[in-house]
Amino acid sequence: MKLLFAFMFLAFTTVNLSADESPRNILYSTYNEYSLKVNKAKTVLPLLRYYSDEIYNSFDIYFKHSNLKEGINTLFSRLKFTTHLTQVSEHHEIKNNKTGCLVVSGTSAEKKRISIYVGFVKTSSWLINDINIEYLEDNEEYLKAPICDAEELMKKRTKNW
Amino acid sequence: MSNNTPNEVQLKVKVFKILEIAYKNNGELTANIVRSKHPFTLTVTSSGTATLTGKAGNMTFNVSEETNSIGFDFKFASLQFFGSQNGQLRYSATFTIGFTSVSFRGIFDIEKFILECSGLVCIAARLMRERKNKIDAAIQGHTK
Repeated sequence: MKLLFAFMFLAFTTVNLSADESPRNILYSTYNEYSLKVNKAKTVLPLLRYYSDEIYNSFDIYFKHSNLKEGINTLFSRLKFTTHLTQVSEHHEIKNNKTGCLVVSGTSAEKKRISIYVGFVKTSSWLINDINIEYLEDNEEYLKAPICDAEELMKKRTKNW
Repeated sequence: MSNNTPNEVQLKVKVFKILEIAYKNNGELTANIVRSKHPFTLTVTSSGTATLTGKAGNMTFNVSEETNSIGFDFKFASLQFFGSQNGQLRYSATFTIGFTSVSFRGIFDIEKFILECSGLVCIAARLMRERKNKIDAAIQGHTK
């Protein structure tokens, strides 16, 4: 009987842990996994599956470039957007059943404070749908509530100008 | 620059160069728009067509040499300037390059720009300023 209770307790806490921790930071987990892939990637191929259909379709301009090598190299550099952030200091995310927005903040290689906003859409997994790299001025704070729409973000930043 | 997504510093240089081209195209109108106390906008399309729009008027000019060096996937740039105060302009900028946007804010020193920029119009502006300073000095000397 004790064994049965112990098993039930273990099963309950395991379910609770996965229900609590995994979804809470799922966008950052996806970003982190992607970022690690970027650091190891020698080609664009392992990175493509992280993108939504909408973004994936826009890759045509790289694949159909008259100089294919230049096209692929440029695509590779764009896919490596996570490398703009060399030190992460905080991250926040909001999401519903269909879309999500993540902000990862920290400093660049040049020691500038930057935030990367990544918009996601949910299919069978969370896929990258939008990217905005924001360089902050000295008097600006990292946002705790991410804004993935670049225009909305700029409105917020310049509200008191 | 074409193989790396440009960073803030590289794009701020682009902003400077695009305004310099505006000056070269129409110095008087550019000066009127830039020095105005009213907000104005600058947009650049993927083909390199830049449009400067302010209360003093608007002008269209070509900056494809600048946009080409950002990358063949450059799509759009949108800049808002918030009106001159003490010779300084605050601005916000968003460059869309491929599927990525790069946003930043900055302060643009109009006086410094006019004095440091290269090109015929800027040289003329410098000469005019020097001449004005000489005239001011002469007037001051005369009134002592």
